[in-house]
Formats: sequence, structure tokens, C-alpha cells
Amino acid sequence: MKITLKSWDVLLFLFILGSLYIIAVFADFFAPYHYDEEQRRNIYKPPDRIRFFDEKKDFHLRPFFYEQKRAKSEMAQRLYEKEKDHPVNLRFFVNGFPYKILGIFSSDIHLFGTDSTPFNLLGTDSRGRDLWSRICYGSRVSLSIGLIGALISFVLGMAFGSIAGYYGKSIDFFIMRFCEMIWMFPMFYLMLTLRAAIPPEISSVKMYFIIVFIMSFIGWAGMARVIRGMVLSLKEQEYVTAARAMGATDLKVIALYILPNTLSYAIVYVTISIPGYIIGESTLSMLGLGIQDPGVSWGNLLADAMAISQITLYPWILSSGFFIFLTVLAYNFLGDRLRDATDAKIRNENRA
Amino acid sequence: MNDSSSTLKNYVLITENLCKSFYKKKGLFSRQSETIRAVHQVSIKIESGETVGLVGESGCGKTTFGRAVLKLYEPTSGRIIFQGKDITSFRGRHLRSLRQSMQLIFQDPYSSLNPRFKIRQIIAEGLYNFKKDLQMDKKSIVSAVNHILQKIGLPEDASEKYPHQFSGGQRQRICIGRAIALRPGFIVCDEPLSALDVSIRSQILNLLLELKNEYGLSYLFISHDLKITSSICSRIYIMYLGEIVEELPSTQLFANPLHPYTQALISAVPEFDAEKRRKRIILEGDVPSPVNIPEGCPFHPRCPKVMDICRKKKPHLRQKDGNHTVSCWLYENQRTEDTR
Repeated sequence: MKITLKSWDVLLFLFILGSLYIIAVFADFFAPYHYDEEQRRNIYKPPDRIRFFDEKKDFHLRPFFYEQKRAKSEMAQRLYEKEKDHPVNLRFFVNGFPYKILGIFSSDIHLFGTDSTPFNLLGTDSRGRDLWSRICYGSRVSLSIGLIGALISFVLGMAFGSIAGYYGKSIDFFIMRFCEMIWMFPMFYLMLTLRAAIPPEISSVKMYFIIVFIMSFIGWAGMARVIRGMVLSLKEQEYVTAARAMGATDLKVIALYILPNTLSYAIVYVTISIPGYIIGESTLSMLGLGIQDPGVSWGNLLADAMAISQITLYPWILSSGFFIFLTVLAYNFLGDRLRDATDAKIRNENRA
Repeated sequence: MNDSSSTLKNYVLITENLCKSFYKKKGLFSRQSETIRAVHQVSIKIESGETVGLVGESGCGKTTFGRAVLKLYEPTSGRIIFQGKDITSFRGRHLRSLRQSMQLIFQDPYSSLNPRFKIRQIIAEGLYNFKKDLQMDKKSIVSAVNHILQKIGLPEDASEKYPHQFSGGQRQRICIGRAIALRPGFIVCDEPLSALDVSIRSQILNLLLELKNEYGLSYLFISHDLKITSSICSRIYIMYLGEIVEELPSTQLFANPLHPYTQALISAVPEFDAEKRRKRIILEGDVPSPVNIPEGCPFHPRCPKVMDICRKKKPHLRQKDGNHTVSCWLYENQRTEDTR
């Protein structure tokens, strides 16, 4: 059976991931409200449903929704009532709060919005902030942390793994024992411990880099181990001996002759490891140890949903969890497919 | 060595009692390690411009010796004198600069070419590594590569192709091209023909001889094909279990082999002419493991002419006549008493 990357399911997941990253990059455009904008009268408002048909089953070309107004509270639950006689039209490419595209071009165009009554696609949170907007902004942290973290541990793993494998002996021994020391601790507790070594009150940007650092520090060990194993076998290849006989320096031998041959495997490994970083960040942030309010990340958004009573009353606050789920699923699926494809390629190469 | 340096200069390569052993741990918790004696006390000399053969069975240490000579393996003991310099202890930068003058052609033209490099890159590998020493720029490297392609009989458009687009013979030409690119004085040919079709062997052999004449190369020609070796080499060393058992001029190889091992090897060369067909000497058993080298003469368990003394004492290389040296008790009987 021929395994290709051009199948509908691969394309579907690529499309999902692609859309998520586009949302992350142009979060200002996709979010109708600023992530910290509070709508005091709309605390825990359920998602507004987009409609095309009104009560009389008449079709409207322009999508609309019914405004929701606070009703009497029952026990602790906040209740909203739809005002069916008061439809609000949804407008596209509206002017809203000003922002800068990619930090350069000024703009105030947003994908959708309303004239007056706020529209909350995924409802609002405990402080009346629009969840969809917050998810758009939160995706910046959550999605980039996976890529950057995986990239750093990729570089570290490649470097240390190839040094250990190529030079062997005591260098190999020390690097590998160090990797095992990192591995020895349960990842979650190591993460908490490293986090505990850092002062709790620091800016969101600093925190972002600290989380990346913590997770790459834990993550490179596995990568190094795999690369070391491959280098051990690759360095016995005759063309590596030939390169040494040709007077190539060790650095050249490693960089040009050995590492390129580990690349296809390394890329698969990195792809499969990205979800780990996303989940790691979410875990830290959810526990209040990572990105903190008013900063947003998908994990941070879940912090609201820690109490079961909140979830039963306001289930829409879990929606950022759905985005985490979708991203992790897409990465795992693509990583698996990538692995199948490279395995098949390696098998074909060996046969030839 | 008492030779003056001027006589040393005539030799491109001299090894003195070169040994290479590998160590392998016996078990997970064992502190002892097994010694695998791949090459033991090998002394050879190669004059400049000479082609010297090294013949032996598979696994006898020929390849290990070839690589130890080039310092691709660190020798365990002994000395290597290359172009009058003792290079045994060379390391790092010094060793790297030596690579310009000594090269290696591999047995397997498939695994010895980096599958990710174009032919242009493969041939220019060495040139790029010594770009500064050779004072070459990109342009001169390109023209050097084209020149080499022409020398090894490949079309110029081959330079943009990858190794898998070539046949075994063409790949071996590329290997040879890569080896001569730096204009070395000495090349170790590690069974360069054994992976090739018989029909292509003569082409490659002719190419090697042409290049030798043109550049004044010296070859250490490692092979197990006695006929080819005797046809291109001036002297031949016979190796058994990492030791030299006989050294003889190639004219003597078929005419007057002395060591029983050499005789057995020669009797195994296929001959179509029924008149010429020799009586086969069938060697019993396998080459002993280099971990447990037999006591006495290493060849005694398989030797058809084994004597008592062979099992107890090891014979030494003795000069028989002229350039013919052999290490066997058969030819030492008159001196047996002295060595005791």
C-alpha cells in the first residue's frame, strides 16, 4: 500500500491547523472585542445563536440574533432571556477598536460585529468578557508556545544527541546520564518545581519565555536520546568514514553527513511532541502558574472552569478546551501520518 | 630503525609492528573485556610509485589494517611512517592536513557515497575541506571537478546527478575521482573491484593503472583475488588472522609459494584449462576467531602440513631468498635449535 500525504483527512487537519494559526496571527481582526474588555451587564451570558429564520419562518439574507437580557437570577445562576421581538443584525467588516496588523499597519476593521448590542459568539466569562475574542488572543500564546518550545528542544536535542553519539565514551556517558536525570522525575512535578524557582509576579511576556524555557528544558532529553541512537548507527556508514578520510572536520561530518539523515525522523518526532508543549502550557496556566489574568492563553481560560458547579451552570466556558483538543488531535494525526509516510520512504529506499 | 632519512624518503609508507585490537566487554556487569586482535605486528614497506598487494581471506584484518594505516582507526601499538614522517601520534589539525596526501577507495561503491550529495559535491568534498591550503575559489573547484569527471570517464552533466542514478561501475569511478581530487601520493584501495561485475573490473583496474602512471601514485591494493593482485602489484603480502605470513614478489606468487596457506589460496583459484588444473588443497574449518588466537602458529589448526612444533611455538618471518619472506616452521628446520 502506498502511503501518501495527499489524502482528504490529512488535508482536513492541515486546514484546521492552518485556520487556527491564521486566527492566532490576525487575532485582532477575528476578535470583535479586545480581550480585556468587560461587559458588566453580560456576566456569564450564554452564546448568541446566529439565525437566518425568524419566528415566522421567514428567511433573512443577513444573519441576525436575538438580544439576550438579564432575567431574574435563580439561586446562584444568572439567567438570560431572548427578546424575540428585538432581532439584532450581524454586520461584517465593521469598524471597532483600533489595532495594528502584525504590529505595523494600523486598522480598526473586524470580521464581524454589531452596532450597539454586543454579540458573543461563545458567550462571556465571569467578568463579562467575550470568550471568542479571548480564545482568539489566547491562541497566540498556546499555538506559538508549542512551535517555539518544540523548536528549541529540537535544536538542543540535535546538538547534544549528535555530540553524545558521535564522540561516544565519557561525553556520551555524561550527556545521557543527564538526560536520564531529567527523565527520572515525573514531568508534571518537574515543571512545577522549576516554576516554583521563579518569582510568582512577573510580566506576561517574561512568563511566556519562562514557560518555553521550562518545557524545552524537559523536552530536549527525549529528542537527544533518539538522535544519539541514530547517530551511533549512522557514524558507522562508509560515507562518513569517507568524509573523515577526505579531511572533513568533526563539525562538518556531523552537520553535513550525519544530521541530514536523521532529519526526517526528527521532524516526525517534533511534530508529535508539539501537543505536549501545548498541554504543558495549558496545565501551568490553568493552575495559575503560567500566563495570568489579564493575559490570555487557552489554559488560562480553563481556569474559570475548574469548579464543577460553574461548568454545569455555564458549560460554554469550556470552549477553549475544545480548541486545545482540536489542536492536539490535529498535530497527533499529522505526526502519525508523517511518520507513516517517512517510514514508507525509508523502506522504499532500502529496497532500492 | 637505523636507516638514514634519505632511504626513508624512498618509501611512501612504512609500518613497524603495527597492531590494532578492539575491546569488547564480556558482559553487562563484567569488568573484563575480550580483546579482538584484528591486526598484529604488521610491518610492511611501500616504495613510492609502487603497488603492493595485501591478500587474505575475509575477516583476516586487511581492511582494518588499511584503515589503521590511514589513521582512520587509532593503532594500538607500533609505528606508521608516512613519507618519512612518523604520523603515529598525529591528531587533530596535523592529521587533517595529512588527508591531502593519503586517500582511500572503498570496497562498496554503494554505501561509501553520501546519498544526499550531488556528484559535484562528492568529488569536491576534499577540495572544499582544504580550500584555504590549496588556495582555490569556487570557480577553480568547478573546473577541477570537470577535469576529474573527464579523467574518470564520466560525462560533464553527471556532476548535477545523485549517486543512485549511477551503476556500480560508475559509482566506483566516482569514488576514485573523489580520492584523486586532492592529488594524493598514496591510496589504499580496499577491494575496489570485489563489488563490481567481472565485465567492469578490467575497466576500473585500467583506470587505476592510468591514474597511477599519470600522478605517480603508490597503491596499497587490498584484495582476495590473487590473479588480479599478482598482475598489477610488484610485491604481495599474504595475511592470515591479522599477521603477515608471507611476503613475495608477485612473479613468485604462482611459481613458488612457500607458506602452506599461500599454497592453499592458490590452489583455490579456479582454472578452466584441465591440464593446468592444480590439486585443490581444501582447508578444514573456518578462520579461528580473532578473540581466541591459537597458540603457536596461528595457522596450525587448518594447516595440512602441521608439525608438533607448530602447535607450541610461533614461527617468525624469515628471509628465504631475495625478497621472499615467510613465517613457517617448514622452512626453519635448520634454525630450530637456535631459536630455543
